[in-house]
Amino acid sequence: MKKYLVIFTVMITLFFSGCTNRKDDPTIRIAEQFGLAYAPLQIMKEKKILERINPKAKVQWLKLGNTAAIREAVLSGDLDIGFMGIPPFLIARDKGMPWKIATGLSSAPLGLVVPSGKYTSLRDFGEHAKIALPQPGSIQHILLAMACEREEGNPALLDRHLLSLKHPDGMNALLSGAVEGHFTSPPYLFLESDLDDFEILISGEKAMGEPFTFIVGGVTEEFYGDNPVLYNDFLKAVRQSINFISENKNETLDILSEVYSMEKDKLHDLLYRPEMDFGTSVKGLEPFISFMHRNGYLDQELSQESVLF
Amino acid sequence: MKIRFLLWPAAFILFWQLLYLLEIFPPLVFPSIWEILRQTGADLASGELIKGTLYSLLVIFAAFIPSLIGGFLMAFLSVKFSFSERITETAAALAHPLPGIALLPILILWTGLGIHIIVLIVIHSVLWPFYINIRSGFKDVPRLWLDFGKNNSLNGREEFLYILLPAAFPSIFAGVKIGWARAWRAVISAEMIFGTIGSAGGLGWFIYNKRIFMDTPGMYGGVFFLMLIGLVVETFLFRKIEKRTAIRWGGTHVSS
Amino acid sequence: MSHLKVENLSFSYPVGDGRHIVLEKLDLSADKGDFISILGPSGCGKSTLLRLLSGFLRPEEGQVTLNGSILSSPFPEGQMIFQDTNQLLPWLSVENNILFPRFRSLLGSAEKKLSENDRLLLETIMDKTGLLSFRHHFSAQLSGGLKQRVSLARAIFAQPQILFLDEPFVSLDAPSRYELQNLLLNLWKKGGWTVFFVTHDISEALILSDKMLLFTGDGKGPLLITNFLESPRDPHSEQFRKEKLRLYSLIDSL
Repeated sequence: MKKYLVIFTVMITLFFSGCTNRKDDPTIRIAEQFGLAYAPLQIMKEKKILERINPKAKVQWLKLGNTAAIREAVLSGDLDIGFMGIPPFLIARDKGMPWKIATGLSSAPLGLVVPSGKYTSLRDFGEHAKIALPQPGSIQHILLAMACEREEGNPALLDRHLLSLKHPDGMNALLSGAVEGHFTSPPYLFLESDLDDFEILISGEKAMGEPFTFIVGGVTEEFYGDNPVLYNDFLKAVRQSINFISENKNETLDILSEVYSMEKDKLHDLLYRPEMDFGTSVKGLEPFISFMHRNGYLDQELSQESVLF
Repeated sequence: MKIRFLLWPAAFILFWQLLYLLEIFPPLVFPSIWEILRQTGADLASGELIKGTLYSLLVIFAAFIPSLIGGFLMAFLSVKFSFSERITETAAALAHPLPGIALLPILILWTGLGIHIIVLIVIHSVLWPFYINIRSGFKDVPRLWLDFGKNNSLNGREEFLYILLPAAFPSIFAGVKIGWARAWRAVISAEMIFGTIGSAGGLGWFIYNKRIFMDTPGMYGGVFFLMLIGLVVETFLFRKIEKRTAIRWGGTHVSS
Repeated sequence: MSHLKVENLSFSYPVGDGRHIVLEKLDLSADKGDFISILGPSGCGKSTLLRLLSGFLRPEEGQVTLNGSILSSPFPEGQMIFQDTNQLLPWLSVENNILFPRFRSLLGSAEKKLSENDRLLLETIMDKTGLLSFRHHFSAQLSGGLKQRVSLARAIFAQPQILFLDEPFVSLDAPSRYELQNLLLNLWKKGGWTVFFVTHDISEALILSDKMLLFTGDGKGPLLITNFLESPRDPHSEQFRKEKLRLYSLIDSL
């Protein structure tokens, strides 16, 4: 019995250690994500932009469910680069995850969508009104709390009303009247606020008081140290992908309409709105850090250097 | 029995700690047993873990009662009337394999948002195993025992109370056991998808939050606590009941 | 005194397009205290007749009367004992199984509420059937022979007028079978019940019964044969063997 346990342990150990062995070829593993704000990644993958910059690089794309799964994959060594909103990135960094922001990817309008003409301020939500947003600690959650602090002086004002729902479920809930508000991002923000019956009560930018980057790319310190060339090639690829979107609209729409299975006209309307701003700069880091630290989401007041490469 | 009961958890803890010491996984995703214990202790002391567990238990309880009643009614009707059997059998065949989570959008559309959604999902996941087991329990009662009842002029009520119910008990009890496991699965996964941020939440929400805020030791603590509940209920409740009933009666429904 | 009477009884069941006739215009009467075997090869309708006599089946034509009133359903005064050894209720102890027919609503507290007479009756029956030390056992813990003993005790405690036994000992090994046959005979001699005993074993019928209803399979219905062998009947005696051969030839000749 004991003998078997030992053998079993050894086997499991070998099995797991086999998984994490590094290979000689420079490999880069990136999480593939859906959503308008991640469009440059899709272009980079489909057009093989990184492979063209660095023909020796082995590029692997992984599909993962959500932010938490991406962070865990990065931690377990299965992923080198993960893209997400600034707050979930900071939460991980704060807990000691050895990674930093390598690049921004996109800025996009976020906001709280409510039924038209019903609300004029955040105080107006009734006792039983519910507001849907993706998950606690998400950029949507933090921005709403910021809005509550800025407008009403109490970041926890709406906490009792918050309901965690995925974007599509949240949109259904809003349209069916099950919730009174949905704090969301494109394309759902566009789809909802385009309807006459709904309007944006407060935008993310207003909540924060300044423009901010929506999606950033985090890279492990290990990858940064081990593969300086590939790291720079990757940044170059991000920039080229962003340029590709603005320069080759037609091909971009061909690629993305296929991937998102969406009509080209509709996609064109959503992707090329002026508010959708793809770019590598990272804005709004400081206000996020200080707000999240002040409200207990972060244990430490992280410095810029500890967060950015 | 007592020793075996402790052996597996002990082996598991040793194995966990060994993996931790080998540093195969980064400690941020694979913390040591002591960190897990410390964080679990803190979550117990703050009442967060207990509250979440009680909350989930309350949801399960709220779902069990109507499910048992519904399962009994449906089984009873389908044993009595063949047209009702056709309806419930079709409903069970269609609905049983459907994961409760798949119903979430429809439930929100029809009933609005609230804690009742999770209760409904749990009801969905336990009602069908209840019904199927209760029905087969009733249907499988040997004719011999019913004949014995007829021989002694039992009326309908007596036949139900003194023959059908005890005869079907092992099967009904197996249904309750399946229901209990399914209920936990449903409540945990529903809470992870659909949670209320500001107010109270169950154990699933607790685990989900720990994961989102990367409190990994706390997350494992929640998972282990969940397993502990399962182990305790299985060992100290289900096994005991089975020893007094199905096993003593030489029943055929001991497993599952 | 004839108390169970069968008049003009017919019964058949559907087979394909037609019907298989099991009984046609059978007349029969049993006196109190008769021990009647229903004898014949398997599938000839022995059990059907027993179910008709005990009210589990309704006749197509004719009627069965008990003390003058027509039978339409099973009745506690006629206790059935089945061939299957699983007829005990497995969730009840031996004692509670025996108490069930008369005290089912009191089980658990029956001990306190039993009258002195019933308590005495229970003890006597358990003693006579050799079950005293198995009082708190469950049927899953009992051998086949013991289970049938409990079934017998249960039927007797119900204070019946008639016992209907459907090959009750057929699944037992030879020694237990012999033991139980003797037990049944002894109990019957004191209890005085009318007994209908289905069997396909000629020896068993000869040992136990005074009258035999012999199904011959020719469609004419059973023959009533009186057993003149004196009891106690020794299966190894010359007379017994002769009688057995005679019955065999009756079946074979048809």
